[in-house]
Amino acid sequence: MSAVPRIVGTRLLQAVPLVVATIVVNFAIIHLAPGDPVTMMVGEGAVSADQMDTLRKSLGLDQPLYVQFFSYLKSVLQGDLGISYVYHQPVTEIIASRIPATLLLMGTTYVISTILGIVFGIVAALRPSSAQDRILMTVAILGYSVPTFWLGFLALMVFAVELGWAPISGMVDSGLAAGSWEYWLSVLRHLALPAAVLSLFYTGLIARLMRTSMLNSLRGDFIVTARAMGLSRWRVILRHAVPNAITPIVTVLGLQVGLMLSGAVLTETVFGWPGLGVLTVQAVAQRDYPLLLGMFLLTSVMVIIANVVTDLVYLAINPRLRGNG
Amino acid sequence: MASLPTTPDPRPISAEPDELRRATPHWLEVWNAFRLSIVALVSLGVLLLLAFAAAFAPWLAPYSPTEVNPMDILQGPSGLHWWGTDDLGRDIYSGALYGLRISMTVGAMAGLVAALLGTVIGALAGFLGGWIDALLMRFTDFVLTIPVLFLALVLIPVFGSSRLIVILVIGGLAWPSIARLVRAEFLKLRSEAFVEAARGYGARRFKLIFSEILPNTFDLVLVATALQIPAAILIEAGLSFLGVGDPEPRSLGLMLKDAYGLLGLAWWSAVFPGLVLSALAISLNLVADAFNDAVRGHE
Amino acid sequence: MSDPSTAASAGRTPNPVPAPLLDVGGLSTELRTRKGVVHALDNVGFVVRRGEAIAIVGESGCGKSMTARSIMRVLPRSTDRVASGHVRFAGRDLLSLSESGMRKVRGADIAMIFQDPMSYLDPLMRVGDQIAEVIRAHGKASGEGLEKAVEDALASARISDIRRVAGSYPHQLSGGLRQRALIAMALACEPELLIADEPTTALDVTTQKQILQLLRHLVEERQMGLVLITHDLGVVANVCDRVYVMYAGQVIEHAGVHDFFERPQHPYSRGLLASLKSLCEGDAHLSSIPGVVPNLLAPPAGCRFRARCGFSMDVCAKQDPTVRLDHGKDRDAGCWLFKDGSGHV
Repeated sequence: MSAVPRIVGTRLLQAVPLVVATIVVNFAIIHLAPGDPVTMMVGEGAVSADQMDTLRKSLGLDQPLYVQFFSYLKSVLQGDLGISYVYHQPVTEIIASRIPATLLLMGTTYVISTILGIVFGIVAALRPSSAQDRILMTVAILGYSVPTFWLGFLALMVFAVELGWAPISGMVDSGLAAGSWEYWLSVLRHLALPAAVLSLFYTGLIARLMRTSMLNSLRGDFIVTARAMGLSRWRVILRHAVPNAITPIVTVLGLQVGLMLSGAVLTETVFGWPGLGVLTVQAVAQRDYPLLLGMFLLTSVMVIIANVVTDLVYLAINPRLRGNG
Repeated sequence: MASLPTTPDPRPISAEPDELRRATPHWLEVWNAFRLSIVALVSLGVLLLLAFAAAFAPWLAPYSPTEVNPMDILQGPSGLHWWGTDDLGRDIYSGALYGLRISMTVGAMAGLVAALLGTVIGALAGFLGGWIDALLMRFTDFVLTIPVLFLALVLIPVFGSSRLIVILVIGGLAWPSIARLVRAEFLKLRSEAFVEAARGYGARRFKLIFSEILPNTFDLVLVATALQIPAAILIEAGLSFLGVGDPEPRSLGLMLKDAYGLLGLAWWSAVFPGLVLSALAISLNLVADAFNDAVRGHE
Repeated sequence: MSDPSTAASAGRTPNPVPAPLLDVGGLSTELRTRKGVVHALDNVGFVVRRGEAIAIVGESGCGKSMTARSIMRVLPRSTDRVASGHVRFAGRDLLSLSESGMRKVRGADIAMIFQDPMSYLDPLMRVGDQIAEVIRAHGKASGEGLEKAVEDALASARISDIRRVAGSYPHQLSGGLRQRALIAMALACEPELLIADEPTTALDVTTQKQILQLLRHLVEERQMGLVLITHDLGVVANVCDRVYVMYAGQVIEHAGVHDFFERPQHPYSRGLLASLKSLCEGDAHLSSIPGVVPNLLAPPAGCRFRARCGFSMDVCAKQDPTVRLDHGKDRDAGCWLFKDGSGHV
């Protein structure tokens, strides 16, 4: 199977120009957006002329554009994304400190919605146009039609404000020793609502997708073979139909990792979850441009990585791509 | 063995018309398939009701949506204020009616942008083929991976937050599924007999696109666009909720943002605008979905 | 069970040959579609004896494959159903078996192979694993014996490079090897009857010949019954003992292979053979009989070939000649030319 390392190499290489392109776009946003970059970055009249000059120098804005680009590229590659205006800390550090919270929320949501979505999609596809199919699919559409932030909002009103079952905001109660079981229990209590709300949305999306793919797979000729060879109905479904239904949607499932950021921003905001989403919204509100652009760069790279990983997973589960080894 | 004439007399009969005609659905056929689903009919009813409410908001709204009324703050639902008032005394019902207008306009405009971009890009890729096709499809795949709301959140403050920018960003990222569809349809139709025939008559390429292929993709583009509109509406609402986007006039997302500040004080300020927004997105999705099934003649 | 053939043959001498391996009669299958019920099969009947290969021939869409799938009870959709008829296999009526009873028959007593082995093999599973799965499902071997059984199956399909084929995914094999792998899977549980649905259509001529030789060899060596479904009359002449011709969901003629090629009776069969001859002479393609097969949503009354037939008579529009076709006879044709009409036979 000598083809595999070559394909892996190609995929990784293809990601490099995308990352560079993202950096270029980021650079372009700073320099091509209307107005003086420094004014744009700090806002009109927000700081004194002295500070503006210092900033201009620190950004190397007195240099020619290509020099600026290469010094920008160099600092980005060194992990230097500038200093936040609000926090007065390196952007990289601020972002890094928020990653675990977002990973926890998105990871939990991703696992729950992928599993449930696939199961619901299969169940619906096994009896197309039946009551179980119609009900599941209508619920799935409801799931991704109801705005997540509003649903989260209602959940807060009912479970946190009225019933007091769930905390109103945050990720963990203060004063608990990190790593103790009380700490994790508290995290779990905080996680339950946002993860449930966000999962409902993605479960709906994935269930729809899986249903379509499963219907296609069930129409496959190899299903006829499996039936004609006397395999049991469940073996035909689980061993043949399901793997062949999941394979084509792996790509889309991979995309969801990146797309989930949108949902996470809203959900984090509603539930005061201290992740990248809340950080971004704050940066927007405070016009903290270094932080915003850092977020832009980081999330772009994240999406690119998610794509590469998806491609590789697809390669791993789909023998057809591995050539004639 | 009977003695028979050696060659049978050829007597061709005409085929049953339904079997031979291309699968372009007649609008009547689509409607007949659509109305089989009760869910679809109910959704269509809700959608028409919402459209009516949005269109006639100035006549239906009892108050100005933005009028501040210090005497009437945080009133619960009553005969005077059906859906209550917010902390500035603004009438929620009137606000929701006007907000609905914005949501529908943004959805339609973003859909239009996406349909135009998707059709042009898909048509170019499908008709020209070769490396242009490969490049455009690679780009399409890339755009598909962009978290729209997140990107809009980061970009809009940089480029200024007008509703037009919001529409352009949302619509400008919603076209990939449409482009793919148009491209697939082009590839299919390109080889079909009627285009071949037109080519035989020396029809020029662009004329081929406009007179033969594009009209045949119209129904599919409409369906694919319809499927994008509810998402566009939710993204706009989400952006308003996050405080990005045009504050004037006041949209449903913005009403929900204000309501969030009143958490635990005025449930009605959150519930009603959210219900309107949900009803719009749900009915649009269900209608688009049933419409999609009807056009494609699924199962 | 109202079997029209029983009534027709009642007065004649009983068939001297022992009870057939497979006896299908009055088989009618309905497919429910959006536009209505498609009568895909109407009163289909045929017999297969041990050590005999029969052919079911006809144009695409005539119901050949649907016949095979009705026998196996693996119809495309859950709404499709066999409306009437009998399928007696070694004395048992398969249509009255429970689904789990039928499952024990499939793959073990009756096996089936298909036209395009690429799409009929699971693309995500190694060939050896797919064969092992069938063997295990029927409890023919397990544990340590399983690998041996897989190798035996592959060997019986005359695959020489057994280890490589077993370890390959379908896309890694040539078309011929794929079809052999599918045959190996079908032979794994030593079935008494093999149904081959266009087994060589997707293959090149040389490979085609090898596969057909293999099938014929299996029939003779194992005394297996073979139902070969094909539109290729050349294949029929090489492999089969008897021929059943299908048209628009009905069997319209059957005969021994020699009789069929020498003296076809039904005008449709004559058309098929005429087009084959012109094909050999290199000036036409197979389906050169003018006209279109009738729509099976609402099959016409009387003879279904009438509209394309050069000899149609008044009776053809009124009565369906296939009703009286006797599949127990050595040969018969569902045509009024050979029945009471102007029948000379």
